[in-house]
Amino acid sequence: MEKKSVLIVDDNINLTKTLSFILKRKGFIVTTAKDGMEAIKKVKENFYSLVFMDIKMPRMNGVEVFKRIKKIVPNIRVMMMTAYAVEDLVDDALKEGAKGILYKPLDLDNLVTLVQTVTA
Amino acid sequence: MSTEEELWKKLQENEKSFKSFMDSAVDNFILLDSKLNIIDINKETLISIGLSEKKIIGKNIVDLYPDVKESNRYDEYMEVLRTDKPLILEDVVTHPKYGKKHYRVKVFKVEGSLGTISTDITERKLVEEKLKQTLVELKKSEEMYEDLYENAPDMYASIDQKTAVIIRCNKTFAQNLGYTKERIVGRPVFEIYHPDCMEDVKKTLQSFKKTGKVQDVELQVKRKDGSKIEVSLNASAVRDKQGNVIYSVSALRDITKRKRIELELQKQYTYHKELIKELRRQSNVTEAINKVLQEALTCETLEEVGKICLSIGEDLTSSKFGFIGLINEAGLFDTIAISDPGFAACKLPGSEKIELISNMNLDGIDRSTMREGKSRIVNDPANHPDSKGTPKGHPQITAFLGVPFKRWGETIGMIGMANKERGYEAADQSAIEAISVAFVEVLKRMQKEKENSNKINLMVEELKKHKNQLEEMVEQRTEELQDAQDELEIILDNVPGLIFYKDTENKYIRVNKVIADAHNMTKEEMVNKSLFDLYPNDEAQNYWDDDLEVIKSGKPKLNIEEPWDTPEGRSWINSSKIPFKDEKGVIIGIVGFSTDITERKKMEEELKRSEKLAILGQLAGGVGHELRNPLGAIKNAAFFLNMALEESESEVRESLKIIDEEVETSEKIISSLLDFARPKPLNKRIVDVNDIIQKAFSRTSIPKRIKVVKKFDKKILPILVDPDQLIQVFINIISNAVQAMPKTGQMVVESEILDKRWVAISFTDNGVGISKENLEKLFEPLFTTKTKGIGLGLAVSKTLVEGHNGSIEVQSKIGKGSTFIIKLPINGKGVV
Repeated sequence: MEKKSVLIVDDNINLTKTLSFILKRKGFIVTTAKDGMEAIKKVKENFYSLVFMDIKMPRMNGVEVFKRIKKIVPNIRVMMMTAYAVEDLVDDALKEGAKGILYKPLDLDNLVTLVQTVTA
Repeated sequence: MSTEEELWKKLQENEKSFKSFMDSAVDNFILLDSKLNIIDINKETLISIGLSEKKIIGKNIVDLYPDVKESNRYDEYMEVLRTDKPLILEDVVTHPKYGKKHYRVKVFKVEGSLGTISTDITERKLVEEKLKQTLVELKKSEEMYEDLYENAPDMYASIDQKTAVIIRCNKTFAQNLGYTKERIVGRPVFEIYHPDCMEDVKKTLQSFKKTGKVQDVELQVKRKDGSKIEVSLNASAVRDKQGNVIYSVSALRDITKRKRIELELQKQYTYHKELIKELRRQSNVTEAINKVLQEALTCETLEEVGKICLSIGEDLTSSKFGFIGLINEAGLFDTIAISDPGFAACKLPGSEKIELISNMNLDGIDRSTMREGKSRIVNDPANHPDSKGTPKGHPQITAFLGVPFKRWGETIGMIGMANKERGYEAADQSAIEAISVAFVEVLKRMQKEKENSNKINLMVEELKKHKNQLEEMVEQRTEELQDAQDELEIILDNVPGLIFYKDTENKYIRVNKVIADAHNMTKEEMVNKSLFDLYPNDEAQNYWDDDLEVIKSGKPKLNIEEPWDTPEGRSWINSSKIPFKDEKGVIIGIVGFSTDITERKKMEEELKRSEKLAILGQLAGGVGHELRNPLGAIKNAAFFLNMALEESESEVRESLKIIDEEVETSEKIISSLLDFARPKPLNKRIVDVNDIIQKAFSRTSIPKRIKVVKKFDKKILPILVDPDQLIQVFINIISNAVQAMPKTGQMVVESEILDKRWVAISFTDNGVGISKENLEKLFEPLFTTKTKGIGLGLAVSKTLVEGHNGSIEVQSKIGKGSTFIIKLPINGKGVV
């Protein structure tokens, strides 16, 4: 079975790293980006079956990044992540077509199952 | 006796008597002989000659009259002797005594003698002379008469009676008419008269026929050029011997000038008469004005003045009646006065009362005067355009005089006069105008007086008022003092505060009902008591220390907040104590005022708690979220290590598990912190409260030692709430209850409807109970008595319930257990 590519976008490098370790172990090709601009660049370069996107990031928030990458890959699948109660942004993300919201700290067992389902 | 004898005898007698006759004759008688010697001479002659008979007789005539020969008389005498032919001659003899005398001398022959009889005709001669002279003069006078007639200043004409034709006229007559005499004579007399006076001419003629004369009849004659001459005609009749009138003689005197003068005189006379009349009238008017002005002085009302004006006006203008009035503020006419005859006339039938009609329009013949603003005379009212007729019962107006009067150029009223017999004239108008002026003067005066008297009255009134007011004020003050006392008492009793007045010896002099009630006393009972009679010693001492401070310092002590224990429990009061001074400034007591601020205190504490919560919330929110990221990374790392180290040592695995667990605990703490800090938005649904309670129990593990008793009111209908939040609340409370019962115990859960407005859910345990002190802090965040727990459960529960407009309360007794009661509004709103 061909490996699926996953992009993780978060300004918290430790969180990005540990999550990528886990997903790599679970058989995904994981690419990381530390902010929105890098994420857009990565999306232009490669195809990703799923994008994990932190909502609250410096300079450009997750919803804004989502809107931009949708223009590059309209059907792109994005799961939003947040540590904050940012209901407005969450609502916006869902309207834009995000597949779901994951609250930090992530429930990792559920997460792995979810990623496998979504990318299947 | 024969006739001869008789004759003879007669002769003899005659001769005899002849002598005597001769002697007695007045004529001179001389008898001469043929030689013309004097034979006889009568006495008269002797007298006239002045000689005696003896000297004369025998003398020749020549001796007597020497001029006889010269004058041929001698010859003539001789001739008579010779021829016997008597001679009559006239002689003038110059008498020595009588002067020149004329004689008629008859010389005749008598039996051979010659007799001369001389009759003195001096007188006759004189008369004749005179007559002659008279005739000359007569002639002259005739000429003069003719001249006079022709050139007389008057016009003369003779008119034939039968034909009425001018038969003669003088020059003046013709000239005055502008014709020659020839043209006039023969014309009928009527032609000369002016047609204007023809009637008079005929009348004059008729009268003349009867009386035969015309005296000073004034007529007009017509000149050739058509102009008119005024003449005065005098005529008399000339009659024949039978008395029939043959013709008339007329004298016409030109009286044009006289007429003119007469006319002028007439004019002058009329003028003077008018002048006198005017002067008299003016003097009457002046008198009238003076009368008005004078009598008005004694008048009290304007009506009286009006009546005087009317009565004087009626006198002056011979009016039957009149009225006077003013225009009121509405622009309508108010009658001030109607003269008594006017009253009688204007009184409408059926009205017994004399009424002065008011508010009349400015119309009709009478009141239109005011609209016009000038006097009017209407002597034919029936045909006047303003005529409205008169009301029923009102006398007919035959003549009307209206005079408006003005003030400051504006018509303010009028005087009306009516029914002067022969109509009104300008003089009447000016008389009433004068009266109107007088009336306005009086009006002004009265108004001024009224103003003054009003002012005085006002001042008097004002003074009276002041006096009354003062009296009233005194009375009122007295009453007020009493009232104030009462009122003060009432106010003091009803003020939501404790009020007292104490003397410096700590004795209550006066208290209000509130403070007395607080001590379960009547006000009277409390008076004369001291602090030490009312409070425990130490408490009383505290209060008294404050009081003493105020009394000593003389400065008020304001807003002291202190606890105040009453039979119902502890309250808080805010007290102010103020020194009470007499007039001299000596402190004689202390006034205290306290309000119950328990509620305020509670509110303040609540506010403090809220503020604390808010700050805590912000902090918790900030920290909580920030911690999630690192926590997330730790969790990921632990998860990965767990995955990576599948075959690791048990201690490593254990350690990883510990990391995992502690991360989870941290997560819970953060979650509850966040729940408390920023409650999630309500996600309300209509749900059954009893169901929610069941769910809460199902998510909580209840130890077997605890018995749960559920008493649900099945009638409770579903209400609109956020079920997740309520489940969390119930879980918190259930957990607390479980922890309060370390040994066996029972928990009673009850739901019910309160007042149809609330759903009340109570959780009652029979656990350890909560101390009084802890009860106060129970809902404060971070307050906990547990070894485990951060003290947010109840704080969050309270926040969530209040988010539903509900309330949460707790009742507890140490050792007995606690009851938590949650009330939720049925309609989703409202608080207890």
